[in-house]
Amino acid sequence: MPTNTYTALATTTLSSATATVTFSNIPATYRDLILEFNYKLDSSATAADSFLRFNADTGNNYNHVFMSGNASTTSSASGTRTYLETNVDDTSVFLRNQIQIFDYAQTNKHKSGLMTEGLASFSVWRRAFRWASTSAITSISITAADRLGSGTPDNFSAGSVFSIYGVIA
Amino acid sequence: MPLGLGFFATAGARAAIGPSFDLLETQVLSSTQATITFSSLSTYASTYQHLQIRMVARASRSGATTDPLIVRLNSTTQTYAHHLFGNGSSVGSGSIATSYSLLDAITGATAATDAFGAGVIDILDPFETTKNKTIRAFMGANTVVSLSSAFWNFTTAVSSIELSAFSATNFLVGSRFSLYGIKAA
Repeated sequence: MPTNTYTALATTTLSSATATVTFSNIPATYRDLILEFNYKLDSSATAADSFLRFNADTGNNYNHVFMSGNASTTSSASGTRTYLETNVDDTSVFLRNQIQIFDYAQTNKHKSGLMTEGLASFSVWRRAFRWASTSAITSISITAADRLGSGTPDNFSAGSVFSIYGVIA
Repeated sequence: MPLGLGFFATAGARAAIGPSFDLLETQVLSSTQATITFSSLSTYASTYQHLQIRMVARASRSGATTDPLIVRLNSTTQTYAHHLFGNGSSVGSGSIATSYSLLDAITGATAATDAFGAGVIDILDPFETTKNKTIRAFMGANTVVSLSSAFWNFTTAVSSIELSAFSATNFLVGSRFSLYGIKAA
């Protein structure tokens, strides 16, 4: 018997500039999580970015590989960091990102994910990632930053929307 | 609470009407297995326009951190696929014309312990008998991220989907394959 599968868990729409958005107490009811962001920073930045952390883990446990392309060149890089990087625009353009996290509550594997990103002004990105932990994900934080944690903190602009969905399997 | 104005997570696009994204089947491996088969798909033909597979998988391919994934429709040949991939240092593309669709990638035996590759595979209009079939995939494992597009050169309705590792090894315990149906408006 087919089962309706895709459930909205929470949406946060910012009414004022905010540095960090957190989804907490995520139930283990679902198999996958899908995050949808429509967001931008509230000020011009030298290197606009945002970053995710699962369960407030600040360890060097976030592996990623991306490929990107703009009007003339392509790029790919990989690495391990203390956060999961996502793109965000520092212009007037709201950027749409989708982040899929697979088997997020399963404790027999690391957490794998896929990310669809784009910088409206100049590039398109795809990213795969792995959080090297077998812990179930119970919270996800998304933080605005210039230069990713080593530079000037920033805020997400009012009007930015952050949604989380659960997918049954 | 079911999502009223639905989104569904495709390899690239989204948005649909109503609660239109349904779980059909899931296989979670409790022992190693060489091939995953979703069969008797014709039972879904009257209800769904598209199919989607969401998966995490790891193969036992020795000496490799990744392993391509093979997709076969109706156990037949004549499939053509193209790939765009990033490998951590550069972006490349390639094609294959053979008896299966080859998608990059799931993890292999030398990937980090407990690491699995993830993928979303869309089979578009699988039950339409007036057009050939298109597969698109977004996958990632270890230091590979890829987009794939495959063309199945038949107008026959899809009745089965087979997944296997390119290395002809097994999927490992914990690998998970879920099949979803997506309704048309």
